Amino acid sequence: MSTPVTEHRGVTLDPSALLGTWRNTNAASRGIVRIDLERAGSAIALRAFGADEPEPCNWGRVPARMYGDRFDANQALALDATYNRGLLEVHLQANVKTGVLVVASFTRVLDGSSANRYTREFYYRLPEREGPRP
Amino acid sequence: MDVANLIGRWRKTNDGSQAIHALEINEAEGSLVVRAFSEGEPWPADWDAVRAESLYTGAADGAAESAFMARWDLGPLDVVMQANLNLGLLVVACFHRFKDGSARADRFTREFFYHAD
Repeated sequence: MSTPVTEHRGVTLDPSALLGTWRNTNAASRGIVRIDLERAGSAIALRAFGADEPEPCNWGRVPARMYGDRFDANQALALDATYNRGLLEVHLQANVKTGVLVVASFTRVLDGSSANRYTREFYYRLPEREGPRP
Repeated sequence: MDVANLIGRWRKTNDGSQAIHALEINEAEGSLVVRAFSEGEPWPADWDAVRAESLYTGAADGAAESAFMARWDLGPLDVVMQANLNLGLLVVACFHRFKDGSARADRFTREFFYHAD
């Protein structure tokens, strides 16, 4: 499912440190295996791919809100975004640290059929030529 | 639901506070109640207590709650807190979102707290 990308009011941050295709450092992850971050006007959009066979599952494109590390920052170093996937509400928070995208995922099971889950995983950025395929 | 590992007073591991220097977490009527304390602008000294919106487990068996989300309306800004236990530390990420029209950037902070009880 996809959600229209919207811009957030306030200071415009430079998203360049976040943009690109990020791959999970754990090849055996059963969570999000890849994250694409791209410009959407002055905002950014996130596309997550969940582990699946034979190909990762495209969760669709959602708007992501950017954050700096100071109130006078002009560079975005973190983001958050939310997926509504049926009975699952997934909050993603991510920040870049020493070249690694650290992503915490908070998954809420809306019908209470199982426990809400928390995970943290790490992603490295692919060189541009290995970016997302059409 | 077992929230015992989250209950108590938590103090920051270093003096260089980004946003919060202490947290109080209690249980009330089956909910987790979180109170944060800050020093300096733009936050109030006492954020007041709010109920955690949701609890999460990092364990496959879901035996113990180890993470939560909470949200404050602090006037000029909203703060969303996402916190989790890791090796005995409480790792607290906050997303500070301005709504006062000021020229301040939305800010992300991550701070570490030890159990002070």
